[in-house]
Amino acid sequence: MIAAGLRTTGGRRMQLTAPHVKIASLSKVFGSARGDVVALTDVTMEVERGEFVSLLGPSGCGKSTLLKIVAGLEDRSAGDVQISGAPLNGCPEGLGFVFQRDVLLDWRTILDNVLLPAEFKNLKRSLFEARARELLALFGLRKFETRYPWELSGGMRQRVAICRALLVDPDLLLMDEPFGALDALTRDELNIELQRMWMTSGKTVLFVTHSISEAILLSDRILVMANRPGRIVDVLDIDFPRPRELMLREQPEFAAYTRRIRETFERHGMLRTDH
Amino acid sequence: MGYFARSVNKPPVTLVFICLLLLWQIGVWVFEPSPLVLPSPIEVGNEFLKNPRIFLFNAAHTLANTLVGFALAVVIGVSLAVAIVYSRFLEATLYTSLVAMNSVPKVALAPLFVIWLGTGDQSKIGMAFLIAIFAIVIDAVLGLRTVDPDMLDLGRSLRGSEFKLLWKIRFPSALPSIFAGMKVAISLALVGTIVGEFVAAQHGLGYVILSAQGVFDTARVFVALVILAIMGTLLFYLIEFAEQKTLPWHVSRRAEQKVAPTQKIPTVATVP
Repeated sequence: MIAAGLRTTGGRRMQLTAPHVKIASLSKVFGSARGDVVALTDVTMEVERGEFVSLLGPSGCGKSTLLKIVAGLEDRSAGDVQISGAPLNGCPEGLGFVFQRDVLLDWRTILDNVLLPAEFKNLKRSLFEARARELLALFGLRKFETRYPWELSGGMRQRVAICRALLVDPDLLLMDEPFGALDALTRDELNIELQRMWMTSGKTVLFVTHSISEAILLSDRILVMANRPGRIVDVLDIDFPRPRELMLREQPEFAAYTRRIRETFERHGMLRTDH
Repeated sequence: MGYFARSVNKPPVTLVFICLLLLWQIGVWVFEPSPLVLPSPIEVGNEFLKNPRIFLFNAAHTLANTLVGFALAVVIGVSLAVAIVYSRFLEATLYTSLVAMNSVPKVALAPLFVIWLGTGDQSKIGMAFLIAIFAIVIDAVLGLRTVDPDMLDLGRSLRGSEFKLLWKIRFPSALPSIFAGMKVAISLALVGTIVGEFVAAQHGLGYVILSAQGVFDTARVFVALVILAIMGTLLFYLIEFAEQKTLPWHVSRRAEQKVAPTQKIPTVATVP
């Protein structure tokens, strides 16, 4: 991760030595009427500053829960979470969250949606307007500033959601299957746009997906998760140079990563092909 | 599609109204009922023109009391709804008793309001308020509760205060529901005012109806009824107009099925 280390130029006030996200022996148990459900067990992982890490697994493996715990939106049952060396307490500062659904506020224009974080953080709106416009332009949405969310297609709406998450320049971006609801072509486009944004901004990204190829294409490292109970069963470093192009998926090395992940899934009984 | 064909499928309100009046007039000509039972529209119109100022004065009274009662119901109702949504205690006590009380015929309380608030405007405003507030509280609670949980998570992840969550997320997302409650409530407020005027009053359309009934002046009763009908309709459309102005996003979303958004924005495909 030499490249990742070099990208931490905007390191600001944090401890550069501590990993950006550090999770130790984390578990999460949901109490329900029919008894407890173990969503996550003994999860230990680290994400270095500037790294792009994916949590890859089938539905129900607790990957979204893990992301919500890091965001401070969900309590943990046991274990430790540290952000930049400081124990997690509530929703951490300097964090952007992108949901699977875009969660745009229907009553706000696109520009006002992107400016929402400034309002919530009591920052002066006028100071961020230029940046909001810049971000929208970066994602090809310059012309839609005054439109309302319902006037945009699904891919454009998700681009707006990403702009919103980037507005106050958080150094940690948590993305919960952000492209899961999009069609395959739009998804490809957004993968490339996300990579471009990440390469120029040096942010740490923790990315949840159930698409093997998306994870390989985007990540420095993939944490493969199994379900029942949710846990990390494999860790892969992806060694392709950047920027990566979509055609990379046709390469034999790419196929080798895919095979290894599929085999992991099969070994843990998650990819049954016998029926 | 020509104007005529369109009008048959969805005729304008005024046209429907004129046709009804015409039917009424023809019915009176053909069946010749006693004017005590059913005066013709022309007689009703003449009755109004004989002394329009009296009718308008009384209508203004009824309208003012209705609007004051309604406004109080909106302000207090929405505030109560916010309190109910944030407090489990209030939800268990206030909300459940409000829902229970909603099934009581509130009209029966009108005499009590006269005892409490006198025979003046207060008792009419009180009745309008009482009848209207239930619809507003119930719909506002529903709206505030059914906010998208991801939106709240978004606000929390931005470390927004509880007040910011309420003011910038919960409340706007509840507005369509609140407007639905207001549309029901405005008609109910008018009912409340009239009931209040029936029990004890010196002005208002309810008073006009009651005093005309006392002297079998059926035409006069009908004038008051027609004014009430017009007033009720206008008030309803006033709320609808306000809704369209306040919630263009919601109103347009309802129409979304008719016009696909991508058709309106041809540049979608060219965005990288």
